[in-house]
Amino acid sequence: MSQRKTLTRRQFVSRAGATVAAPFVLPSLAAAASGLRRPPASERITMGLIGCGGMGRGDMGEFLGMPDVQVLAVADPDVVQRNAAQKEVEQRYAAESASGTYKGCASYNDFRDLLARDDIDCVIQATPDHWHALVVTKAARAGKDIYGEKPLSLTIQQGRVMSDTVHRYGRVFQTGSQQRSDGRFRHACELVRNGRIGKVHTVTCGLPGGSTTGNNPPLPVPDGFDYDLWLGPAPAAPYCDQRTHWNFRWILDYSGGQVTDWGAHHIDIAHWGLGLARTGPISVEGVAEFPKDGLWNAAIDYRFVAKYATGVEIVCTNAFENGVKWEGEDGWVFVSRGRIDAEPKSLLQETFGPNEVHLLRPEGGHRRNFIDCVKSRREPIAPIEEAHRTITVAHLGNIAMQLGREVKWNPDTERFVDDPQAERMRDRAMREPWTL
Amino acid sequence: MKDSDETKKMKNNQQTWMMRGAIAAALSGAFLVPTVAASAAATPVDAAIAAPRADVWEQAAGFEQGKSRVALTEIEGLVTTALKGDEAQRAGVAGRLVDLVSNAQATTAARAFACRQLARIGSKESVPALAMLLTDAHLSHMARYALQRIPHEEAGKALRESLAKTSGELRIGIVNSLGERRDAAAVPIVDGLLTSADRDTALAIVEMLGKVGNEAAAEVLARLERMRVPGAATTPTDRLADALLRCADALATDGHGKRARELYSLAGREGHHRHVRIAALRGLAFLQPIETAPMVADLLTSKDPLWSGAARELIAEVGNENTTLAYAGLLADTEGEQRLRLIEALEERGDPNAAPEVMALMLTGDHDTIVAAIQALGAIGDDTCVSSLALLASAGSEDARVSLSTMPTPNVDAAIGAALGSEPVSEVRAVLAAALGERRAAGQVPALLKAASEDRFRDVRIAALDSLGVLAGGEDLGKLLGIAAKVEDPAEASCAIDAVVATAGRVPDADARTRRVIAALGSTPAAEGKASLLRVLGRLGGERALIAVSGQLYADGVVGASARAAIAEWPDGAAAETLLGLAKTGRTPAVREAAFRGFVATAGVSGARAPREAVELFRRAFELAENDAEKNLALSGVANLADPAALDLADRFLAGEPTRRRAALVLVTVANAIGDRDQGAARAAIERATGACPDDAEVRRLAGAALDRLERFEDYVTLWHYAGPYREEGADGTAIFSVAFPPEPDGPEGAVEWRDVPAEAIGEPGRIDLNAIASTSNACAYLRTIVVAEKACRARLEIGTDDGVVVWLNGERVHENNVMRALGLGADVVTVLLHEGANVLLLKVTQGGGDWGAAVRLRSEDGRHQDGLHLELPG
Repeated sequence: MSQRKTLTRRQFVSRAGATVAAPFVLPSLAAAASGLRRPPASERITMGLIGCGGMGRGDMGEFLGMPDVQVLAVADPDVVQRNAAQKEVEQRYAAESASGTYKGCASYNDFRDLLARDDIDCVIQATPDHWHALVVTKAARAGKDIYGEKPLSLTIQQGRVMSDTVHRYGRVFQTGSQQRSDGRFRHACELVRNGRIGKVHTVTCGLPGGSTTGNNPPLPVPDGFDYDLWLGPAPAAPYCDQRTHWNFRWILDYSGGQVTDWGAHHIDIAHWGLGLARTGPISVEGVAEFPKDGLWNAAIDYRFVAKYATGVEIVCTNAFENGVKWEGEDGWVFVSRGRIDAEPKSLLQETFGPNEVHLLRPEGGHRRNFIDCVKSRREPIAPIEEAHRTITVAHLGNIAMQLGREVKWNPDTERFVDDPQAERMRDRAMREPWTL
Repeated sequence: MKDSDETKKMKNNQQTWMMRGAIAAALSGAFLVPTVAASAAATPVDAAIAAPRADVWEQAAGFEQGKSRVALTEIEGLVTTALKGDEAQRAGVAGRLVDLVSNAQATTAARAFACRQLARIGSKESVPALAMLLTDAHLSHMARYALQRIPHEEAGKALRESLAKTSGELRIGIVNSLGERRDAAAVPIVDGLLTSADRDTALAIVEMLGKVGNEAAAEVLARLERMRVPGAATTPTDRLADALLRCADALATDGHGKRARELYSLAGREGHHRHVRIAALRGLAFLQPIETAPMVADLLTSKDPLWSGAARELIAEVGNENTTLAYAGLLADTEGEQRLRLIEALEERGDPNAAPEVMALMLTGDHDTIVAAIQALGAIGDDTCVSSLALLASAGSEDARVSLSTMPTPNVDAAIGAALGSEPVSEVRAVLAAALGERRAAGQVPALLKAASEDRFRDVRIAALDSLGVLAGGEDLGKLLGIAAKVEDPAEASCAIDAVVATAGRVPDADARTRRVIAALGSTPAAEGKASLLRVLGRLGGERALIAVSGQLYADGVVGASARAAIAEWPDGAAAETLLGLAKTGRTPAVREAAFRGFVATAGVSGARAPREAVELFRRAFELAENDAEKNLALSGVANLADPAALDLADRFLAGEPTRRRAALVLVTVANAIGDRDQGAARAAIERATGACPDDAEVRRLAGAALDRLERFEDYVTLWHYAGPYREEGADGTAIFSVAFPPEPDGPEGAVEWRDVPAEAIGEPGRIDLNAIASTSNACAYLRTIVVAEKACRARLEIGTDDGVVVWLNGERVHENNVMRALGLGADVVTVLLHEGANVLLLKVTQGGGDWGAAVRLRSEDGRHQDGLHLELPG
């Protein structure tokens, strides 16, 4: 048995007023500002931020605006980043306090100190990708619920362990693939799921291309930056600024490049629309241009095709408009951040009957959905297993392009088919003492 | 870009991007195009891979981080090629890599690189050289990087043997790798180490045993767990507990249920943290779903939401159809809250096998149970539930009506369609007809057409017509027109008109559908039927329909009345001019009045014409208005115009008593619509409205709401021109920050096309969504406005952008932040000096990918509202 992954009848009725659903409505920023009154401190969901870079602080900023959430701590091996996050928390809460001051946000170099606190209910995981698996599994083992940034994992095996661990401990996990909470993306997916464009034969995911940089010489580690901890499970390498923070994502020791960075968003949407979010392809092949020199080594230009048992193909390429396009026998749907289009055009105003597929419509946005699920103990709109299946496709694409040939995949066993060469690329050894 | 290194990086980027053009062209073509090696064969590097330079291995041996890695790339290419080749080719390349690994003269970085490649291509022959490095503090990890993935027993043996030669973190790393390999032979060895190992190593061994997950590992873990003092507190991050659970999961998967149960039981003991005990319960429930069902069902009513939530989730997830039956079987023995929660959990499980037990409760339970059961059937019910639910729905149960509409089983539609033809009770038939529409049961259109035309009861016919409006296709239009032409009852006629209009909308050719309606009009003898079809034409709109309806405007009785009603509600903005003309030249007052109403309804329709053109039409309409009632009517149309010019029109009627109130309402309505773009005009209009009608409650209420909305936008700059997006070949979202385009004060010369930021791109509070203007990546755009200061003052700019930003004030660069980030309000704060008079504020907003936007707030230096400032758009 598996849980329903769409609206339950109760949820549908409460949303749609027991009649047919309305056409999609663009998300309102105003709706994100919850109308909740601030409950007493003892009744708030307590939260810690792990990874205080741009994404982490962006996530935290929205949680700070929720009256029923209290951020208690931040952690980052870079003192500049964690101090900035701590200051943001304290300034925000100071503005709300009668005294005009607030000093209740702890700051940690090592995220394990944050996880050891009994008084923290949940964490934002917004570290570089090579840390995701360790932070998520340790948080789950510590009984924390997790808002985890995408892409879920660095390797296929890591994603499997992450999903298993989160489920083992019954934790609530919301993936930071916020496109699922956007009305355009949902409407596009509901059109596809409800057969409005007929049998789908091709989905194209337009992703950004990668970039290159020079051979950056090693630099002194900045004061207050625990670089060894930043590297963590990754192979030892000397510090340089083009390696860390935002740019980590262009280096395959820490990430999968744009293939995983944006694949995490658009492949997720492609799967969601197809109703294939809990399975995977049966083969993947593709070509890519990788930088031949320089520090960054993730794919620059690429195109790979994932074929599924249903016959549908998902094409991922940087030679296509950013967004997702499903092509079926009766029409097509395209959606991106800011644009939705379809053929026939009437699909844009389409409504769906009560016994059709209605994808979840979280009130108040993606992050609010996480907090609501922490309280209700229900699965959020972007669950970890589906994030794992999504990012597996991106990993398979990278593996196929690195091998320069097609790979066969068994989505049930999550193993390559008679392919020991590819099988070796399912995972990597972590630097001591780290282990999953 | 200030220093030479960065300039070099830029050039490097640009060169690479120039190459990318050719690659992108190949990639966008037919799949599969050239392999990577073949596609770039013209480059020196790929030529070298095809025929490696003699000194490539020597160059690689001297590799250092931060130096060129071209030689390494060549070797990577050799490995990729060899992997596609035969055993001899692979052995040859692996042998060279082993030589490099073993080369004490080679750099650490070079030997680490060789280990990486051996992870891909290494064989058992590679193991001895790699094993030598396991004790090397700098290379042990990279040796494991290879050995962990070499699928030969020799690799495991080497790792096991190195346990005795290492200590501290290196040994922990080796233990970790043995765990990842699930090395059963290592279990007794690490067990032997436990007594003498330091704490960190012991914990690493515990974790490793959890991953190995066999009987032997379970025995060690169980022994360690039993050594705890029973009930003693553990830490939340207890690693032994985690290892027990992980080992148990592996054993359960591998069919060792008895041992798995033992471990779950140990992990579920008192003293372990709640999340560990919940995990143990989950493990047991998956292992023995039927045996644990009563225990799990009991937990549904736990006061601890974590336990009750876990129980609900387990009931939804575990086991198979027999588990469903086991849980459904418990329903009869439960009561009260627990029974309600169990019904809800079974609903979430979604297995129709539970439907009979749930249906039994629907017929026999108490009120709350009946309601819960009805609701649950919406998810798990099947065709056997149709009659009961329809009967309940006809008796007024809204829950039953919804469940009838949502039951997912495929054969439900046919069951409802059949019942519609055979059910003796008319109220039940009406429910069934409505359910088919709600279910989008397109296959049941014939049954609905039959009911709409033949059923003896009006309510059934109306319900069928409503559903046909949802379901009927263009091919059914003729039959529906036939029904509409015969209907006499007004309510039924209204439904028939709705159904025909909706169905006609599915005929792709607008002219063809209008012609079909006109043809039906011509062949319909009954006045009531003609009246209905005229209303249909009025709803469809279009020039041909307007001509047809105009031909009946002066007819007697219901036909003429219907034609006049049609033009009074004409839907088609393009007809506004014609209607205005008819309002002037119509032969009877009734026709002139209807046309005037039609004009008011259509002239302000959004999208039909520019708001300023609509304002001009209304000016002419006011000239035609013969009395105050018509002026007020026209004013109600002006309220639809979201344009400052509409305010001038309303102002003209603010003085006269009969029109003052309506004019004031127009002012606040239009002010509300334009407030996000022109706060000054909006506030002034609201002030005029409340000044004219100070005691009017409705005016004050609307004014208050409009002011509240303006407050949310307070001090946010929403009046912008934009230019762009701009791109540069080879520049990504970070690099484009430094590329100057013509809008910049120091940018290259070139024409700049400034445009208004459209209303749909402006969100709250003051967020400009640049993706709504042009969804793109690796680009930038410019936003420009003029801040007019009554006197010179210091002001604070609170800037949030996604991604980076450069700010110029009066041509001076006052702020920059080259960053990839989400939009955070006030993320950057800059204090600036505003001159008296006009100050040009210019922003450059960069875009890597994804969301793209800006929000700028202009406040006093201490963060409050700054008086004496307003915004203007450059001319």
